Amino acid sequence: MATEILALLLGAGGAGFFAGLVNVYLAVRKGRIENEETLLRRLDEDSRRQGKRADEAIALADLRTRQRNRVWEQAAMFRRQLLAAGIDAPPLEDFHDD
Amino acid sequence: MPVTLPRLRAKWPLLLMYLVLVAAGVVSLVKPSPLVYSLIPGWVTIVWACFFTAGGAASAIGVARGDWAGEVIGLPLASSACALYSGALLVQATAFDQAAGAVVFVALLSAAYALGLAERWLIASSLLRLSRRVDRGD
Repeated sequence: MATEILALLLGAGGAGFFAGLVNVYLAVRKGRIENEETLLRRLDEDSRRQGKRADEAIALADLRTRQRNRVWEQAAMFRRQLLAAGIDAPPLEDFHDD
Repeated sequence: MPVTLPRLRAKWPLLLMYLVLVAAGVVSLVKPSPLVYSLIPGWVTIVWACFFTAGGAASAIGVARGDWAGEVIGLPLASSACALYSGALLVQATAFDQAAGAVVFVALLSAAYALGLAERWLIASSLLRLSRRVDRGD
C-alpha cells in the first residue's frame, strides 16, 4: 500500500512536469518567455489599462443617467403644461419601455 | 515618483536552493537512500533521484535566466521527489526505536519543503497563464 502511494506521488510529479511543459510550450509559441521584471511590468500596465477602461465606463454610465433624468424632467414639465391647458395627457409611466 | 515593482523572488537564495537540490539528486543517484530503496523497486529509485536532479537543474536554469519556465517545468519533479522521501521516512519511522522521533521530524520537514515547492510551482504556473490571458486580452 505504502509503495503504491509513493509511486502515485512520483506519478503526480510526472503529470505536473508534463502540465508545465504544455504551459511553457504555449508561452513559447506566443514568444512570451520573458524575465520577471518585464512580465510584472506588462501585468501592471494591463491592470492600469483595465482600471482606466472601468473608470471611463463608470463616467459614461453616469453621464447617461444624468441625460435620462433631464429628459424625464422635460417630459414631466410638458405634461404639466398639457394638463394646465386642459389636454388629457397620459401618465409618464406609460412611456417607460422597461 | 516612480514606483518600483516588488520582486516575486530573490535570485541568489533560490538559485542556491535549487543547486542544493541538484546535489541531493546526484548523491541519491550515486548512493541511493536505503530508506527509499527498500520501499520501491531499484529503477524507481533511479527515477526518484533523477526527479531531484532534473527538477533542481531546470529550476536553477530558469532562475539564472530570470524567467519562469524552468520552475514551471522543474518544480513538480522536485516537489514530488521530496514528498516521496517524506513518505518513505514516515513509513519506516517505526523501524527506528530510539530515533523514531527524529525520523518523523525530518519526514515532516521534508513534507513542508515539498509543499513549499508545490506552492512556488502554482505561483509560477499561474503567472505564465496570466501572461497568456493578458496577451489574449481577456
